[in-house]
Amino acid sequence: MTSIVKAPVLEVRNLVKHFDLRRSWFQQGTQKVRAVDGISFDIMAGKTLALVGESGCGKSTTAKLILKLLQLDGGEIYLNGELVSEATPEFRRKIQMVFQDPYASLTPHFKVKSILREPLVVHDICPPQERQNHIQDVLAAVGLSSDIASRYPHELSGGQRQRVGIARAISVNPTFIVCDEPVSALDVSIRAQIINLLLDLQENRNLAYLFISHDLDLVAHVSDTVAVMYLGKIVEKAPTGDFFAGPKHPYSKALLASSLVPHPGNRKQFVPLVGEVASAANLPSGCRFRTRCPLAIDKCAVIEPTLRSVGNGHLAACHRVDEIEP
Amino acid sequence: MSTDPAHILPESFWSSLSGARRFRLNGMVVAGSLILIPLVLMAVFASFLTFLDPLSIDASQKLLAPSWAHPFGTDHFGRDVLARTMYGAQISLRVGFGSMLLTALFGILFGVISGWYNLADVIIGRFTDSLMIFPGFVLAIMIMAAIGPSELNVIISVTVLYIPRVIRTVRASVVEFRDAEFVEAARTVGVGDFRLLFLHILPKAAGPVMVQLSFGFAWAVLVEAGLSFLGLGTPPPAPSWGSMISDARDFIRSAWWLITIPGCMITLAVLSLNLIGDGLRDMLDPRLQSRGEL
Repeated sequence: MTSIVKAPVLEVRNLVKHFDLRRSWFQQGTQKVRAVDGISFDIMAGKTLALVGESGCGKSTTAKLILKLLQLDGGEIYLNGELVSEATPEFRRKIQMVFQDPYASLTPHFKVKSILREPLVVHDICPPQERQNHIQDVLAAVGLSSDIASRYPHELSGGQRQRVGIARAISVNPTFIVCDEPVSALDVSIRAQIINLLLDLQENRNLAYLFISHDLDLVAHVSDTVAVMYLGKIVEKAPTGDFFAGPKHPYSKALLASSLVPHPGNRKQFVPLVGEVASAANLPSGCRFRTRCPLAIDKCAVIEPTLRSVGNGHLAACHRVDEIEP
Repeated sequence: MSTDPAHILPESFWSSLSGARRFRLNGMVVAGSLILIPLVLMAVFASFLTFLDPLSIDASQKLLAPSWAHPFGTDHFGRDVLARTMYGAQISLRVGFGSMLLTALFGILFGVISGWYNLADVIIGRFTDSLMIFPGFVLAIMIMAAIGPSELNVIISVTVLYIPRVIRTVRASVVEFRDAEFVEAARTVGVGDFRLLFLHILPKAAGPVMVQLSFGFAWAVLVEAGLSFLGLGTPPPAPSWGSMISDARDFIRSAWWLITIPGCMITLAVLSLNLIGDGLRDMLDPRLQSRGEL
């Protein structure tokens, strides 16, 4: 039964995660690393939200919070409209993850069939005598031959391992998958295969993806919506087409400008960002980006900009957003 | 190939125990086994290999040199030394096996608790530290003096002495792997703590623990002999190798076989177990591989 009014599969409201930074035993809890500092987004069924940003901006922490691998310090997560308070088996079944490093995310002493059998056993998904068939089906769905089942992960190539990781994720029929840089550890030659596999699975199974990446070209290809994170906050969120046509936030502009283009001569203006990312333990006042922003004004040091609409579902958190030409 | 519903441990558990993928039998393990296996067979089949009673006293036969009737001679009570040596092997192996079984059981249990729960780690950690500050044998003597000499008590004191090493080994593996990405991945799939620990994490500790236990076995044989030598171990007239040596001291000039035979047995048993332990360690640690070739 399909309803016409679409409700998001996943809603995230004001997600917060602070880590205590203990310098020594005597000086406890004085500093906090604000890894994720109040972010919100929705993901619809069959759609992909890409979360981009540089290392350390809180992308992976966000993923772990959504997966309930870390405890929230604030905010709410709704899965299919229901508030998620703890990681029930039902929740675990609905939401899965594809990990970045296919070498580290498969239990090394398990054969592929044990890796794929485990979710079936834990969730009691099919009767024991049908598990074998289920495993074969899942392997076929990710484009692996069934003889892979009796191999160990270290006997497989990176691409095969990542396919096994994807097979494990889809074997429980989830509605939502977090893809944490699913291809960044793979050879360039097989990235496209894995990405196309993910896109095919999304289409066939109506999966919603949270796609975490720092590869903007990839994001342009796979996502429906882009959210740019900087130091634990979303600074810009827009439909993918809009975003790549004209990013509004100065940080997004810098990010886009820094990505490589096929013809280096065609690069428009390239103003490299100066300085380092501010420490998440010691955030600047006002706007977090002002220390590196080429457009910063006095107001930026005082008032923290909030996300506001710049039309057409495009949101940006910058005081000078109206002055920025696309 | 059919799936087995009663399949509790994945086949991979067993292969991780044997380290199947890099399983290349190490020369030291082979050499150690070649010594140990005859010793074990001798102990197990002692009653078939000799018809003589290791306890029967015969004053007319005392202190006889090795001969066809008594290949290892007789002691000052006229008891057959070969029979006593064979039955002595039973005691040594029983103590070694019993204490290592207990050590493995409780060592893994406390090691897992210590690695998993931070609060328990503090308590168990201090406990293992305080056990390890004593020189091993001195603590064994203290325990035996407190609870009295018997074979079971030897097993208990060896267990108490050796358990900190196993606890630490297991704890180290649990701490190393509890935040590993494959553990996180399994948790994402919905695997519970118990299954995570016993199927995903503990098999990674199996190798190091086996190494510890084979060294511990050798040590247990030595401690049993030492305690019996001092009269604190297996009480007479049981034919413990340690008490045989102790008895033989008075006849060291006149009856060389009395002290030599059990001494050689202790040496062989400890040597073989240490060889196996060393070999296993080299097999598990590829960086030391070259050293393991004999």
